[in-house]
Amino acid sequence: MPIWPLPAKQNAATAECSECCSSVDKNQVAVLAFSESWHGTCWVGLTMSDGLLGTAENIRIRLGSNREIVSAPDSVFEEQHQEEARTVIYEAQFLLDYLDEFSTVLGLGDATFVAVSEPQRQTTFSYGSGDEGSSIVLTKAHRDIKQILKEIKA
Amino acid sequence: MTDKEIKPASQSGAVSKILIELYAQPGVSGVCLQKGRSIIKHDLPFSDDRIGNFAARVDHLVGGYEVVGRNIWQICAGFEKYWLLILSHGELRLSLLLKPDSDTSLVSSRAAHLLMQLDIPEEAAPPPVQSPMPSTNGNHPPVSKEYFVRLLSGLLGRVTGSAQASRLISRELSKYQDRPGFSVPEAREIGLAVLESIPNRGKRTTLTSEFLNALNQ
Repeated sequence: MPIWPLPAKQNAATAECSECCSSVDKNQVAVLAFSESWHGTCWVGLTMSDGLLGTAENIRIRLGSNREIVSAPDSVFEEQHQEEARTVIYEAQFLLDYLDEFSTVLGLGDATFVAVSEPQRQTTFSYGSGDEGSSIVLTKAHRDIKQILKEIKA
Repeated sequence: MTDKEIKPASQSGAVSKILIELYAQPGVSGVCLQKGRSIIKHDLPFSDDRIGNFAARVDHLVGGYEVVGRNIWQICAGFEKYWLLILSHGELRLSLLLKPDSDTSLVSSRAAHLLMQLDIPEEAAPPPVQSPMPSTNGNHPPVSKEYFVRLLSGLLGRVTGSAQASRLISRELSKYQDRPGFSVPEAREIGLAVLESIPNRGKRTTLTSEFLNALNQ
């Protein structure tokens, strides 16, 4: 199975936004910060319904144990979607840190998945154990979590 | 952990009634309702301190999305033993512990409906539950180094890798090596110096504001 690493972050450029009048260093992109709260004319002007989910109803990304992309649709590797893909991968770890804290506080055991629902978007992260990788599924519509988990395992 | 019954209390009858309805859903094993970080009611078998810590983390997580314009209405997390369903509506957060075999969609839709029915006026919200974060009101007690590092690491972690965040903090703290904690003005000064290294002006402003808020709580 091919392994496609994400492009090195150092290759990212700096963009100028005419609305906020400040240059934005793509290397410093914040986790979660690809929302409409940013201005619309620069690279960060993605909205939740645009970006990757503008190319398909569902996007599935499989990650290896080192968070490298093992498989994903072609759109993930298109230049205009790489930042979002990278951000979603960071989001997987961002959420896992919180889940670990919840588990510690409430004694819930290891986290296996998390699904985040917001308008026009549901993001499901499935975490493998040991050397198993993780999966990320983006969907426009809110779907039954058990159904998504079944599809991830299939 | 076993299912528990919530008995209505006169001062929070509406809330209790709603939570009882939630318990009627099969598989619901625990409930925690909060407004911001303040717990309104919970029935989880842990100390208030522990639940206060949990509620603070839940609010921090949901707030982290809100601050970038993403209005999360549900987070469903699966663990080995239980599932955790967190619903958000305005400042209200409703967390439910579910057995994995429960009908999540049914519980979620019922809980979301009940959550939207809740209209808790500002004055009705109880005072915040004691959280593990240090209090800084009054005579400004010192901020522990451990808390300070954790706070800054969490903020920097959103814009940079953990190793780089750790380096930035260590560099600034090297001037205060033998100190177990700091006064609030000192903590503010050190924190702002660290956050100054964030090159993106917008993110720097946001994180600085969050840092100062956390420090002043």
